[in-house]
Amino acid sequence: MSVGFLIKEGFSGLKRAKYPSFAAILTIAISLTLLGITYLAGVQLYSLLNSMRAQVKIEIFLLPTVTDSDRAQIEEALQRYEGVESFRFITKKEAAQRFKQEFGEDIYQVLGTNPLPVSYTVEMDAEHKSSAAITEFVQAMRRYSGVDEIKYRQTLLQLVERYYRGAAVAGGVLLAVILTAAVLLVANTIKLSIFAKREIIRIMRLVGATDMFIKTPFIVEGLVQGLLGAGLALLLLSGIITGTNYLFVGIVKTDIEMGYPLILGLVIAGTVFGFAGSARSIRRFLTTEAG
Amino acid sequence: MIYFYNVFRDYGYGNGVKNLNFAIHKGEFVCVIGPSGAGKSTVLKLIYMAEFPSRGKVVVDNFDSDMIKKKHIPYLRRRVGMVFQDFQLLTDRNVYENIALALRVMRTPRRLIKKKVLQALNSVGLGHRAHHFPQELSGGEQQRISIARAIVKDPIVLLADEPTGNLDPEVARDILGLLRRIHEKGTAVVMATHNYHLIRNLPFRRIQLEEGAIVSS
Repeated sequence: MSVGFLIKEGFSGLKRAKYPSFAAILTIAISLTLLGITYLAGVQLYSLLNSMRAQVKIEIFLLPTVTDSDRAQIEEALQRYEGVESFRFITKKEAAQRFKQEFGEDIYQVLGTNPLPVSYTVEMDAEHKSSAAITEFVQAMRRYSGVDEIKYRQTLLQLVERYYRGAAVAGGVLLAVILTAAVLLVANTIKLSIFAKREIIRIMRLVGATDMFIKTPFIVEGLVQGLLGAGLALLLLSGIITGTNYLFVGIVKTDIEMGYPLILGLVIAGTVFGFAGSARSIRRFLTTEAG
Repeated sequence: MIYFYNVFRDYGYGNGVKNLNFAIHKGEFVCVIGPSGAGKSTVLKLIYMAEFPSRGKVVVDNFDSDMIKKKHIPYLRRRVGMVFQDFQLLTDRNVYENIALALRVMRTPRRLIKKKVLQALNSVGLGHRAHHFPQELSGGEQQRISIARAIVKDPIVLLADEPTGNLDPEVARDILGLLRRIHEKGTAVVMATHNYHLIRNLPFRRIQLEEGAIVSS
């Protein structure tokens, strides 16, 4: 008896019970494809939310009466404040230029004067782009003399955060449901494929095969089913990705990519499904089946 | 070699065995006879430990039904050859692989497997059928293959449960002849049969069962 024989038996097992094996491979493939789609949707949503967050800028408008020493104190505070990634001073002239860019009107021509205040635009680092961190920053900066008003897109930020939390919870729940369903489906399908070979198992026992001898080919078969299922899932997913990129060209900002973490994750998940499913089912079958 | 000590096997719905006491020695040929439901198959199952006594104990070689652990049963079965009425061959592999399986489970080296399988096949007169599949063979040939599988591992005893039950009388006599030749080479044979006519002229010991009890031995 050799390991080679048991591995060969595992592969021939696939041929011997074609339909249950095919069903197991298909179940694994569909489950993994669903997992892959959930993961890719999560990644897309995450990058979309992050790009929305990246647009959140804070503007600190100063009073017309602001003095140089007030500004020096404000700038020092901005430099010291943990979470401020960068800031820039906007002069009255620059503010007028921005106004023209945004509204297409020259404020000097409309009003004869430039009432726009000087300001700082502040960008927070990724960690401090949350609504709570920004509120804290705004409260800290309001205390400085010369500061008039601090504005940022609070509603947008809160909306983004709410959706982000919702999406994370929904994604997590969806993943858990799919994983549980996949594990149960795979275990049951493999159980069917083992049941189809109960005669072989019974006869093997009659001629004196140990449980380990009987189990090994089934586990090899499960592993192969898992890997083939993962391969099929990768093919399906790449088809879905190509289709999505083609259909939504211009709508989705960046092309969806498969990426190594997903490929590796699916191959590992397929192997684990196949291994755990077959090991569990054959162990149960051997314990309950007399002879 | 095989000992039954006050063995009872109660299934709760009849067909069990009651208070069996007997020994089968090395090289013996024993016929277990009796009508259907007398407990013949149960006696054989108790020997290869697919069943365990409800009371009493069975000892086969060094294996004691009171002490044996589930994981040791395969090692008992490697010492005991089994032949059934319905042949119990695997239809998904050829004759050679069916017989080789009995050696593969025992971790026999590959070169020895080939030699022994061919020897066993020749001894049942089917050396030319190695690459056929069971379903391509007649009933008598399938039973010969199953006998080859049973003897390929040089068992201490060959258990045959109604080995001629599915065969016509002429083929049945051939199979019986084959079992006798195996016995002549020194292997003990325990054959269960309800076909008294087949064995009535045989000079062998008979254990006669009725409703699970021995009525003559």
